[in-house]
Amino acid sequence: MSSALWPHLVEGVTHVVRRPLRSFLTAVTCAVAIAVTVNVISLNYGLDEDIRNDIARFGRLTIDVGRSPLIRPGAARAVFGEPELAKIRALVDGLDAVVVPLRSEQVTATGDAEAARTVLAAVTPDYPRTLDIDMAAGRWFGADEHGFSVCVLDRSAARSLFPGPASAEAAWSARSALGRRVRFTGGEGREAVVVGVLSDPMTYRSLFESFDEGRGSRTLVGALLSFRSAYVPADAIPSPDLTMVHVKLPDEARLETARRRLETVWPASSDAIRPDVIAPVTVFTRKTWMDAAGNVTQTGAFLGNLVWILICLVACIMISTLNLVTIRERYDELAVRRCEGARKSHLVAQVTAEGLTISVVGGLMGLPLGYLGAEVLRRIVSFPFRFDPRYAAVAVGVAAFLGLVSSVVPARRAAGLDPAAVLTRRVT
Amino acid sequence: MRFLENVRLSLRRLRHRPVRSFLLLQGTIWGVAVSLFPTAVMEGTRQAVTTRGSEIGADRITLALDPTTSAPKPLLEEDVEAVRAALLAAGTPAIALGAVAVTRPGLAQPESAILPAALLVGAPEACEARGLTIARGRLPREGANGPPEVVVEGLLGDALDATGVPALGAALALPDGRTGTVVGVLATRTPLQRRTNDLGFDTEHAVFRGVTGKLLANLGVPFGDDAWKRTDRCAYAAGHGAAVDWAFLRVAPTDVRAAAKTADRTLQARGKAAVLFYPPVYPLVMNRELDRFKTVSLALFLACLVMGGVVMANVGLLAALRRAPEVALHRVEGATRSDVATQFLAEGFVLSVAGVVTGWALACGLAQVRIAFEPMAGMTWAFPWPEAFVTLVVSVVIGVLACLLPAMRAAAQDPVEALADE
Amino acid sequence: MTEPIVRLEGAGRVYRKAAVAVEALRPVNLTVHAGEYVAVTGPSGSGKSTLLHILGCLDRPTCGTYRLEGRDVSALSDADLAAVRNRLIGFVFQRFHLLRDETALRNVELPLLYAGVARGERRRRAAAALDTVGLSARTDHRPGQLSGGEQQRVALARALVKEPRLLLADEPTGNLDSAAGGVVLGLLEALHDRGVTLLLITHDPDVAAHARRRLTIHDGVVREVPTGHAEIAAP
Repeated sequence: MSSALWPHLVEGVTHVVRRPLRSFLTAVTCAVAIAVTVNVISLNYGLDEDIRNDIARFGRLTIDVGRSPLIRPGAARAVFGEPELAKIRALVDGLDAVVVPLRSEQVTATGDAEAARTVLAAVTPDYPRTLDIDMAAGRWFGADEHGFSVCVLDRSAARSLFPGPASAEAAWSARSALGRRVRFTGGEGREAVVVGVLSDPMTYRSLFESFDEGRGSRTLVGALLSFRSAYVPADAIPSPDLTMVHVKLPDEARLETARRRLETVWPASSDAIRPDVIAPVTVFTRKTWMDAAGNVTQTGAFLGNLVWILICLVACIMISTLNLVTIRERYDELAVRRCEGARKSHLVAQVTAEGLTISVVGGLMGLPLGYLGAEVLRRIVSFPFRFDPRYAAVAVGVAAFLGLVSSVVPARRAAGLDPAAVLTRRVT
Repeated sequence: MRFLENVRLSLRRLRHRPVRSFLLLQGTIWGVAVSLFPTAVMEGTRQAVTTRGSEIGADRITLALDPTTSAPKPLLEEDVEAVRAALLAAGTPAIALGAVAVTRPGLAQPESAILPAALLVGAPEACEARGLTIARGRLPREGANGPPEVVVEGLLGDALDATGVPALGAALALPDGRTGTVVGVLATRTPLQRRTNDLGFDTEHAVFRGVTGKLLANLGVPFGDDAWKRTDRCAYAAGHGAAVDWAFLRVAPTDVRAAAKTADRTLQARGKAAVLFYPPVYPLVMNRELDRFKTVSLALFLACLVMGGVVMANVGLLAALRRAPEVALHRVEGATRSDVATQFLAEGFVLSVAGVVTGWALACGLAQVRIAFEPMAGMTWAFPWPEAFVTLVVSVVIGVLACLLPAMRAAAQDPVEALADE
Repeated sequence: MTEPIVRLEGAGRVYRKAAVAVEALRPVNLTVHAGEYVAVTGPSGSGKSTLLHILGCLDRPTCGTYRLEGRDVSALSDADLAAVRNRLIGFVFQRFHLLRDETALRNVELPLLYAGVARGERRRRAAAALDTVGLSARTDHRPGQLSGGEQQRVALARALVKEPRLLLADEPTGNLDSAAGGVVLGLLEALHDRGVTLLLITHDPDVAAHARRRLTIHDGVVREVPTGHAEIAAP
C-alpha cells in the first residue's frame, strides 16, 4: 500500500468543499481574526516606519551645540558667542563639517493672520544642509541677502500666517505664501518677504501639534517638532550671543569623531540631567535622539502585536473547539475509513488538510474584511488606520498556522479512534 | 417555575462538560477584557483628576524663564501679575498664583546648627499654588512691620521642633541678613507627592528611570526638577523686587491647557520667553475627543464576540443533532417545544453571562498591570460601569442569538423519528 | 490439507469499562477454511459483533492468537493491520455505513484510495464493481438518494472492489425488506461461488439457512451447530 499522503490531503480538501455551509462558519471565525491581524500589524509597523522616516528627516548627521534647556535658576548664564563658535570650528577642523550658527528669538509673526510662538531663527545660507528636508516652494536665501529683507518659513508657519480663504482650506498650497510680507515683533523695521517655504517632514502633523501645545516648551526639539520657524539671514539678529551652533558632518564616522571632540569641552545633553553636572552649554547629537525615539516606537510597535496575537489565540481556541466537536460527529465515517484500510497517518493528513483549507480560505476572506474595517475606523476615529497589502501575505500565513495548530488535537482524536468500539456503539 | 427548571437543566448540562463550556467562554472573556481595560484606565484617571486633582498635580502649571533664548530678559513680579489679569480676562481665573526667587542653601537658627533648607522669597500665595496647605499657624501677611514673617514646609518644621525649640514663633536667620519669625508650618506631603516632578512623573518609578526619563533627556526636554522641590524643607518669606525664578499657577484641571496658552501669550507679548511645565497626560485624558478611541475597543470586542458567537452557533447545531435522542426522550415524557428551545437558549445565556463576568475580572487585572507600568504618578483605574453594562447586554444578545438556530432545530425535531433511528 | 484462512486459538475478548470487566467473548477455538460459507447466530449482546471485529482485524483478542492466512495478526502493527484489512477483508454492515456526502462511486473507491491506486484506475474499478451489483445507473447518487437495498448494494460493491479473500457481513439484511434482502443475499451467494470466504452474522433463521456451516454464540461462548439440525437459538 502506498504511504504517500498526497491523496489524503486531497481527500481532506474535497471533504471541506462538499460541506460548504458548515465549513463557512468556521472560516468566518478565521476571517475575523485575520482581519484584525492584518490591520494591527499594518498599523504597528506602518506607524513605526512612518515615524522613523519622519524623524530621520531632521538630519541624522547633525550635532547641535547650544544652551542647555535645563533650568537651574540661579546658575550663571552661559557664555556662548563668537569665541565659542570659533572653538567649535577649530574642534571639527578637517572633518569636512558644515558649521551653522543660529540666533533665535520667540516672536509673534503677522502675515494675513497672526502666529504667536513663532521662532525667529537667524542663520547662514547653508542652514538647510543640517536638515534632510526639501523645499515645498521657492528657495533658500543666498549669501548676498542680508538682514530683514527675505525670509524662509516652515510649512506650518506659512500655513498659520497665510491660511487663504476658509473655503479652500484643503487646497492650500505652499506657493501661496511666496512673495508675501511678514512682520515680526521685537523691534522696528522687522519685516521680510517670503522667498521660500520648507516642507513639513511630519506625516502626523496633527498629533504633534497637540504635543507641542501641551508641552508649551521651548526646547530645540520642541522647535523642531512644532516646525513653526521663520528663517532670516544671520545678521538680522545682531546679538553677540548665540542660541545654537549646528554642525553637519558628511558621514557617521566623522560624526562620531566630532561628537567626541566636542564632548571634551561641553557635556552631552543626556548627561546634563544628572544633578552633579553643571552644564549651561551641552552637545546634543540628533542621531541619539532619533535612535532613542526609534527604539521607543519600535517597542511600541512590538507591544502592539500583543493585540492581534491575543485575538488569534482566542480564534485558535474557538476553531479547535469547533474542530473537536465536529470530529466527534464523524466517528462513524472515520471508523469506516479505518475498516477499509486507512492508517492513522492517513486520517491525520486528511483532518489536518481539512483544518488548513478552512483557515486559509477564511484568511483570504478576512483580507477584504480587514480592508473594510480599516476604512470604517479611519473615518470614525480619524487616525491613520491602514491596510498595508505587504502584510496580507503574513496574515494568510498566520491563518495557515492557525489551521495547523487547531487541527492537532482533532487529528489525534481521529487517529486514536478505535473503530471496533465505534461500530459497536461503545463509543458515540 | 418551569422556566427556572429549564434553566437549571441547562446549567447542569454545562457543568457536565466543563472543558467544552470553558473553551466556548474564551471569546466572550477576552473580548470583554481587552475592550474594557483601556476604558477602565481612562475613566479612573478622569475620576482622579476630578476628585483629587490637587493631590496628583493635575491643576498646576509651573513657569520658569527659558534659558535657551539669546539675551533673555528676567521674569518680574509684574509679569506674573499681568498673567493673573490675562487669565481673569480669558475666563480661566487663577485659583492661586505666586512666584518665588530661590536663595540657597542654608537657613540658620540663631541658637543652633544650620538646618538644611532653601529660602524662597516671594508671594506666599506660591504655597497655595503649589498645593501646599497650612498645618499649624498661618500664612505670612504682607507689609507687616517688624521681622519678616516666614512659613516653613513640614519636614523643616519637624526638624525645628526636634531641636527643642517649637517651630511656631522660632526665629530664623535668613541669608539676606534679616531674621524672620516662623508664623506657620505647612503640611508634609506624602513621599509620592515629593517624588512627583512638575511633569507629573514619579521620578523613582522604574519605567521613568529606565525609559521615559532617558527619552525626555535625549529630547532635551527639561523636567523642571530642582532639588528644593522635593525636600519639604523650604521656608517662604514675603519679599519683593527680586527677579522671579519660578512662578506657580493653580487653575481648574479642565482649564490647564487654555490657561497655559494664555500665560504663554501674555509673557511673549511682554517680550519674556517662558517654559511651562504641567503633566501632559491629564488634559489629554480629560479631552472628550478621546472617547472616539473607545470605538476601537468596541471593534475588538465585537470581533471576539462574533468569533465566539459563530462557534457557539456551530457547536450548538451539532449538539442539537447529537442530543436528538435525549431531547426526544424529554419530549416523550412531557416537555413542550418551547421547553426544549428554552433549554438551548438558556445555555447561550448562561455562557454569555459567565463569560462577561469573568471578562470584567480580567479587565480589572489587566488595568492593574497597566497602571503598574505607568510612570505618571496620578494614573489609576476605575471600573467603567456604563461600558461594562453595554458589554453584558451585547454579549447576552449575541450569545442567545447564536443559540437560536440550534434551539429551533432541536425544538422542531420529531421525537418518534429520533427514537426510531436508534 | 491447506492452511485454513481463519484460525482462532483460545482467542477471547474482555472489555474494561470503569473498573467493570465484561467478557464479551470467551476463549474460542475456531477454524474456517477458504471458500466456506459460515453463518453466526445468537441473541443480541451475545458477542457476535465482537467475534466479527476480531476476525476483521478491527479489534485484538485479549488472550489467545488469531491467524489469518497462516499469519499471526495479533503481533502486527496498526499500519500492517490496516494494510491487511485493505487487501484481504471486506465488510458489510447492518447500517450500511456509507459516507453521507459522497457519491456511490466515491464510496466504492474508498478502499482503493487507501491502497494507493491512481485516480483513473480507481474510478474504473469502482464503476465495474457497481456494475456487478447492478447499480451502474446510480454511480452519481448520494446515499440519501438511494433506497435501503441500493445502499447495501453499494456497500457490497465497496467490499468486493478490492477482491477480498474474506467477507464479513454483520446483519446485512437487518435493515432491508425481504425483497431487497433477497437481492443482497443473492449477491453474497454469487460472491461465495467465486471463491470468497463468507462469514455472516444474522438473527434471521431463513438467512442462516443459506449458509453451509453454522455457529451459535451465547453469552460469549461459540458452539458449532451440526448441519442437518434446524434448531437455531432464537434471538
